[in-house]
Amino acid sequence: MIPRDRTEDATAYVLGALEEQERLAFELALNDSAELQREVAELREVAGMLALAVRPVAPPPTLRERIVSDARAVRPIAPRLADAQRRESPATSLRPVPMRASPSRWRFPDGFAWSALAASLILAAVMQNRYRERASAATALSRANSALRTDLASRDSLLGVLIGPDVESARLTAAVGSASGLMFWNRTAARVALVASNLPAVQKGRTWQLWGIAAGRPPVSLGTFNTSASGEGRIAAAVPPGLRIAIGAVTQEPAGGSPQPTTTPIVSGAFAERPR
Amino acid sequence: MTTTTDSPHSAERALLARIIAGDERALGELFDCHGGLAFSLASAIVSDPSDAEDVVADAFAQVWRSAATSGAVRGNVRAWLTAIVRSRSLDFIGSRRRRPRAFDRAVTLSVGAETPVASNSVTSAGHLIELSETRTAVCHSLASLPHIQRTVLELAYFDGLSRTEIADRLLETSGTVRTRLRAGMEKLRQRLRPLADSFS
Repeated sequence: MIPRDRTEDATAYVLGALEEQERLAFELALNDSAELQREVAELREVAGMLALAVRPVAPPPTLRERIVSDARAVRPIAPRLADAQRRESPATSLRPVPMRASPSRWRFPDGFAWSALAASLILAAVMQNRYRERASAATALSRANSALRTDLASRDSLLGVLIGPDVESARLTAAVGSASGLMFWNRTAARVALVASNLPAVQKGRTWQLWGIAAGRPPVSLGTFNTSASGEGRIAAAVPPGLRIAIGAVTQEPAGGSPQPTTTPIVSGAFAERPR
Repeated sequence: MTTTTDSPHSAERALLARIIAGDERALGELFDCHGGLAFSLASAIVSDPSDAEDVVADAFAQVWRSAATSGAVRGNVRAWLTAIVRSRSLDFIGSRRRRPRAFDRAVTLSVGAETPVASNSVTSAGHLIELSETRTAVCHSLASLPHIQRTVLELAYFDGLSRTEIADRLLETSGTVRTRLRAGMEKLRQRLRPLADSFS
């Protein structure tokens, strides 16, 4: 049975009506619940049908040709094997090159042979080009695979912090601007996680740094992180033994991080005080 | 709600397989099937016809580039395409742009209109009839919702507003909006459940 607030979030999620932080939190929950995934799949079908409700408008007659024409200029991600095989099959059979009956020691091929030679050179160039394209595609796929593994490991690490009986959270907000974050502290596992959004891009040679601050103590670095192009940043890190985090904060620091903050926090927020 | 394997949908997946193989003609045929729906949806969101044309061209370019990696060949091609068109349209206008008239173009004005899609080998007459019936059912289901539930759904789907922005727009609390969104969507799901298989 999915809790009511989760079904409400699922509805807003498929409609794209969650705020960024809500979306990140929901996706973490979604990743962990097959029941919620089924709910989202069903709601997506209903949301998809809403497109049928619009007033029909006929597309301009030139649009189809524009789309097909654009497609001719761009190669889809999958290699066009059938096409490539068709084009790469030798269109011209390479017959033995007839030589002129010449007393000269150096004999030159005739016109047909020149054509065959040119064709073979072009074919070689095409095949070399295709080889390069495929090698490039393989490299890109390998990079994508590596990026996916890294992302998965990052999500697993985040989930590890979120799951537990002793997890506290703090909402990190900005005094100026729209940056924000949710910080989770798993006391049992002694780990923290931060999911931040709308962080501005840092300047070259600088990075974001997460701090944990205990009452009356100097800030303790919990690690550095970078953001995606959309301004989303995530970090999961260990909490040093004995650190009782009262406040979480994020500052911009030189690459590699600083021993102590050198700038004003872009976001900060307090964990709820624990009853003793 | 399950995915059916009747011939129109199998044909759409076959089209997608040809697109993945790099057959530009298949992209044209996909446009024959769903270009009307795509353009109608884009027009409802971006308003200007030439902008809608750009959006649809971008959406089909995305289909062309990424069909192989989308997983759509195993799923619902039309839902995938309309999701791309909607996303591109909202990106175009700025996903949080305030545009109160978008939903005016939606359901309540369109019940009974014809669906402008060309017939071809994939879009059979039977498929068009089925599409038309589904469309009519969707329009009637939306129109039969309480006005406030329909409004929040339309603001979310056609204007791309978040729950907070809808609440601001309607001078309601965020909690009220989340409840109305869910209630409206749940009613639609109950009413459209029998048709979902034919749409998928």
